[in-house]
Amino acid sequence: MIAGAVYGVALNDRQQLAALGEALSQPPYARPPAAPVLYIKPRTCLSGFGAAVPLPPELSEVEAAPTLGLLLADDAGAIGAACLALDVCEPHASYYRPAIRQRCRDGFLPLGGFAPFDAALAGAPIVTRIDGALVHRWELTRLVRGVAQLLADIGGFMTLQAGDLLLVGLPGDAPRARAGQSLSVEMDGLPTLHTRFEPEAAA
Amino acid sequence: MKRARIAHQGRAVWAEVVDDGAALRLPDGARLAAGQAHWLAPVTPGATIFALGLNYADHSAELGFKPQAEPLLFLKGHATLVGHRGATPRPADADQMHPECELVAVIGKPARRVREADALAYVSGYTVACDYAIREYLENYYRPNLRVKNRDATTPLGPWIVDAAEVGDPQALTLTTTVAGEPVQAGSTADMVFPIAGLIEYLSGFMTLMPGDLILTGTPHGVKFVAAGDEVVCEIEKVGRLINHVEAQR
Repeated sequence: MIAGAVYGVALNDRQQLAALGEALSQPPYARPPAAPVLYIKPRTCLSGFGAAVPLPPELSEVEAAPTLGLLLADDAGAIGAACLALDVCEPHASYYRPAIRQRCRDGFLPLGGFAPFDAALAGAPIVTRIDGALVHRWELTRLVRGVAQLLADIGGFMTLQAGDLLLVGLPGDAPRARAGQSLSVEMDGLPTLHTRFEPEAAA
Repeated sequence: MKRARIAHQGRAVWAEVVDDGAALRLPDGARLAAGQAHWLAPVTPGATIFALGLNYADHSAELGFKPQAEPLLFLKGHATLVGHRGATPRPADADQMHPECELVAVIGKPARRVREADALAYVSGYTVACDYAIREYLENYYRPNLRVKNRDATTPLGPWIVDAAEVGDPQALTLTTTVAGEPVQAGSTADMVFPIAGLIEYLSGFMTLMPGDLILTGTPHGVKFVAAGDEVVCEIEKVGRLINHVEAQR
């Protein structure tokens, strides 16, 4: 199971980079990203299997980005297992500063069950439904850096350790979700992820 | 009390620092001379590690930034930590690698929606970090990016955690750094833009802080680039003196 950190990769979707276009060469960015743009989800983002995502009153809507999670089996890039993940965040337009407040809320990373990783997985579409209706579909062929390239490029400056989880990238057109909705993420070869969005319980 | 995490007889254990720092008392009561200890970073497995950028006005000015309206926070994984008297690799092209001495607050109990006035009751202890940066690797995406701030063994931490009660006011401590014996940083935690209590209010406003979580609270001015072979010492009054060696990355 996850014994270490959860790392994610932003701006790893070709379509999103194309849409941002020239903006990535303007202030505050100055130039398009060279290294993978990584972020960390703290342990408090993980919740019990099938648990609801708590939405605080100040967030009427969140971004719910379906992706593939890879569990590292050793410190040299071997993948031990895979799962579906829903990376929830408060929508934010700027990638200049780390999006800690936006990405790190409690319960903001529902996961599906783990299964063996097969490289052929990466060719299957990831399908998201909200309240049963298909709202999003994407393929990992959209990734700027695919799985092997990501592991190599990240490994060039830090060690992904056994027990860490790597989220391989987010679709730039991720769906939005609101309290009261149920959501599922499906991909051939992996257990389906089910979650729902509920108002956060009062403290 | 001071608690250190050390490797002893094949496993990681917490030991109490005794005899004015000369010895460590092991869980079974046996004593080990401090000079014999193999120091590990004093951290709870799984803990979330927060760090602050630009949290001292003089350091912000030195780097050409205006004061922040909101804390500039980033997270670290555990592979970036290294214990007291450990080694930090310096890549051959890292001509602008510099140490940053930081006071670290250790969270003692779950904190959610805590007010600043009550926040220090959620801190169980303090330690010292040296949060190295390598300026050549900065990019303007989620800056400071992980290629700068999450490299293996580039965040020395320790030597130990001191109980909060022994430290008293965390906003009245002197911090100093020396590189190869030369003083390069000298500041006071009184100059933090966002004090520890304010950071806990801010963080606990949107998430739950858990026991063992660490907050590295930023560094005062004094940018000094290091070379392989340098001994770097970060010291914070009432907390500890953290020694690190810079070595050439292979």
